[in-house]
Amino acid sequence: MDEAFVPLHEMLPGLLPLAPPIDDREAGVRTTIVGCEVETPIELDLTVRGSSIEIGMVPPLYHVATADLPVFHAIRIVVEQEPDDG
Amino acid sequence: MAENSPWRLEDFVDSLVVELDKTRETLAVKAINKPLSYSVKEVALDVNAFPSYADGSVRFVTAQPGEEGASKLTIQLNSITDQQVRASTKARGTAPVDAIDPLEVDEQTRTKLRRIGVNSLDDLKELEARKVDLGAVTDSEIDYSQIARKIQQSRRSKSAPSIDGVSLSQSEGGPVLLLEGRNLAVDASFEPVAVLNGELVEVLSRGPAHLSLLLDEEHPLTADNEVVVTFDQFAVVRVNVRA
Repeated sequence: MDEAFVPLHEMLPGLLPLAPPIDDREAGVRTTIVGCEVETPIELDLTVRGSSIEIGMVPPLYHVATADLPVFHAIRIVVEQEPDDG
Repeated sequence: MAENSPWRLEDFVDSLVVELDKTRETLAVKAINKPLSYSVKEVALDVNAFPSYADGSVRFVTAQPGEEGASKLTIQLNSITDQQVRASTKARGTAPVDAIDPLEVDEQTRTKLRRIGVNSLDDLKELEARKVDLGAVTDSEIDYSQIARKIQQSRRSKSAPSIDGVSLSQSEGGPVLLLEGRNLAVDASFEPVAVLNGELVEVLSRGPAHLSLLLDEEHPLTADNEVVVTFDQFAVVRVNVRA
């Protein structure tokens, strides 16, 4: 895998803004994230090793308009809070 | 960047599922130290690629910068609860799954089997018992019952029968020839067949470590005797016994 890319399973958790609950004691309010949906363009690097494929991804590396732009794929991930967490 | 090699869609999906499993594990570990835990409900991936057909299968090449006209593959994976998995999965006993070993069947055949949900020898046996014509269903030349037999034969060769000793005793019904050893009658569904000097003899009892034969008084043991035992369809043993 190219060194600029990160395995999918390492990148996905990093895309999720899952912060701990925010307590506002003065107002007596506690705010929690109950779910999130992230959709982003990505660059992909697929390395074929027999019947398995290493999937490397990275958000767009450069924000410069070049003659040949990178190919942007896309990923969408939906995460929800576990019901037991009330 | 590594060489842009063509890949098969099913290999990509398999690898994607593995990556998502690892993601779930990461989230689960994070949940240990945090008051809230989250689960991945859905993942969708859009991939720009060029499909091609060669050697009987469709493969894709990921689009590269400057290449136009790529197809867009959208792969969407949803999650279900373990209860839903149990409800929609065929019942299994408590015995471990008898998975097909890579050494027993070549990769291409294993892939074809996996596509139709056959992952174990039990799956093959079940389909054979139900007389499912998989050749017609899958438009494939593979003889699935032959594969099952090949796997069984391979496994039997790894646990081939061996006879360690032969003894003669007398019972109420007549003389009994006892064969002792290892991996003898291991297939409970197959009734062993024994022949002594060309004559069929009755099998009194059998087991993985023994086989006892009731000898016919009209055909007693001679000085040199040949005993041929078929323990199952893959195991035939010939023993020379001197009286």
